[in-house]
Amino acid sequence: MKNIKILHITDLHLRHNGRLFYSTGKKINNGLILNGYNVLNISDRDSTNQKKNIFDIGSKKYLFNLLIQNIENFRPDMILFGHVDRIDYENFLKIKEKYSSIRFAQWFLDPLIKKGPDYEKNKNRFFLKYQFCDANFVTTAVDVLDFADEKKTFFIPNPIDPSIDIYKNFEEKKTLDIFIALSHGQHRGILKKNFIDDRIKFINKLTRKVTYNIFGYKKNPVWGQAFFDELNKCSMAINLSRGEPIKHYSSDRISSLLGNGMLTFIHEKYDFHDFFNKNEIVFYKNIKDLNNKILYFKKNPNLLKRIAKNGHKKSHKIFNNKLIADFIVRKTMNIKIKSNISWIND
Amino acid sequence: MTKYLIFRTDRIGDFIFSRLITDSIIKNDPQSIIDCVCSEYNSKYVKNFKDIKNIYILKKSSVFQLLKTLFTINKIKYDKLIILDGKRRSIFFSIFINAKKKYVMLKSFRSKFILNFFFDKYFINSEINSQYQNFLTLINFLNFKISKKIDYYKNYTFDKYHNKAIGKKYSLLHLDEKWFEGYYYSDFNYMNLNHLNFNLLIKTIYKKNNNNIVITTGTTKIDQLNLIKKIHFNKKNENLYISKKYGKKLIIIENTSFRDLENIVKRSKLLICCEGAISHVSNSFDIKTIALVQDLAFGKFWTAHMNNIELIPRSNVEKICYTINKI
Repeated sequence: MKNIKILHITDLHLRHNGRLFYSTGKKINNGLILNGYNVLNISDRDSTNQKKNIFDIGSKKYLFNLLIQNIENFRPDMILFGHVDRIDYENFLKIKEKYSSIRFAQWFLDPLIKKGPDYEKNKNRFFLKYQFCDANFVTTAVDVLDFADEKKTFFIPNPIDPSIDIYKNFEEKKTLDIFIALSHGQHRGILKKNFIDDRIKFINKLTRKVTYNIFGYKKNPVWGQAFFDELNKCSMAINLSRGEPIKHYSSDRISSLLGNGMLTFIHEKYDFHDFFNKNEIVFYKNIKDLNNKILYFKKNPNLLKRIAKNGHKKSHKIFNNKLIADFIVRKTMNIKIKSNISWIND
Repeated sequence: MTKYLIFRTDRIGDFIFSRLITDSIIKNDPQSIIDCVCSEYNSKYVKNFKDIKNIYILKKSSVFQLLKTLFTINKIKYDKLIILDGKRRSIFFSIFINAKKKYVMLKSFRSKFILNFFFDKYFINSEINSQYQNFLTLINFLNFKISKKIDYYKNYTFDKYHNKAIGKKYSLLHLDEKWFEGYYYSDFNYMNLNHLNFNLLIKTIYKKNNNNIVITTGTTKIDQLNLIKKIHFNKKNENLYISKKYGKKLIIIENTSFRDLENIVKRSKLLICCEGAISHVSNSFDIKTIALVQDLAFGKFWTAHMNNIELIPRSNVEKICYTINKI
């Protein structure tokens, strides 16, 4: 097979000075390289951030020209877009018209829940590139999205990167029980004033009989290595995402929880049964059920470790960034995929 | 109950294709009401679809009529207005219509200011995708998934058409103005079909299916076609010509309306035509079709969603016969 050249356009967060070194964009990028693909990066938001110009609001023209120059020089077989919002619809069309032989794809991580946060905004962002992409990748099951065609839209889980998600929390006794991390947007970094969402109400109903390490409520979120240091103090974690549960969706934080060997609790309505069994992750029905299960595992540390270990092993196998990146490339380039992993065959 | 107003002020084939959207709306939201803004020409055809409740005619020649239509439309508060024809007149007219959401499928870029100010979303019907893909994007944006089997003729009242001269098993050759130079676009490639090579084409089609052949024509009077009729056929009556050589196995039926043609296509085993409204009809009935197109890429823009179609670029008749033989 010819070595595929991929132009990956995603925010690599260089302007955040390492605060987001574990971003999904970076994990997918690492996955592409691990597969041996020839990858060239454009960190769109870093580039536009450096070239502010009053005659080019949002540096859109600059980014468009940058893209064209990179395509001309690199001549990729495939262009993979992350959350690239600074190129407008007309310019996407121009690029596709000019380079019609290049395959286009986008990955999109944000929630697409009708009753959830920013639904219209996120749907519009997704549709900015949807028409011109040969393949679209979302972190929600496609069969529950009424606006995505299943022939060109595919589910991908949030990737775990073994070079980033290196901890095995199940291997030793931890000083704290439960890790919970929330944020009001990773670019923002700090909490909004007087902003309370459903997740806070949920946290307030959790049992007081265990110890917590909570960030993003009462104290600001933690980022960078500090995030992993704090996570590493706990044996268990609750995976909280914004909005109503929807099949297979999760905040990208789940990859840090499972991938670093924590016993992870997730609401059963996310349908993660399709990937994990009860010996690998803990499903809960409601807050009462969750509290009971937290207390149960607190009293049964050996079982906690065993399930966390199983979850770690399974998640590193099926949510692996190399696997996900290869799936993205193969689907986009129409290359056959052989796998026994459930989400790949869906 | 969602009220839709759809603009399709162009040709019949475009309307048939647009059934993709109305079919998706009806299947996903059966309680919805769909009204249509048509041209005078296609309104006569659209009225045969029972699921289109009201039809408004966009007559740009009369300002009074336009205002009257606008007034009538604005009495109904539409939830979603969708322009599918991308015409300037439709875009302009729709600006004055009260609708909660407005969407437009454009043929080419229009003023960004107008689009962003007056419309909630716009898509370009770009040839980098097939038309089907572009419409699919719009359907998806409306929060609908397209059904696997699209019923283009759902809720359609067919004309009762019966012609004794047509047998039960036949191939249909539709010879409209697109076959002959001088009657359609000047920059098109045309076939050199004439009374000399006509028999070669007929033999090729016959060999393909071993069926009788029915020829239908368009409404335009064409000199070369008249010569073919004169040399190869006997006139039976005003609308029927019978082959001198093959008898009733090869006939020409003239003066058929589009609705008659639908019936003739529906019963055929094979259709050979220039790509256009008629190939949308044959696709709707899943009739095997060989369609002549300007070039393959352009042909695919219109036909990518059709399963039972073979495209042949228009060129000389000998080459076309050779390609038909190879299919």
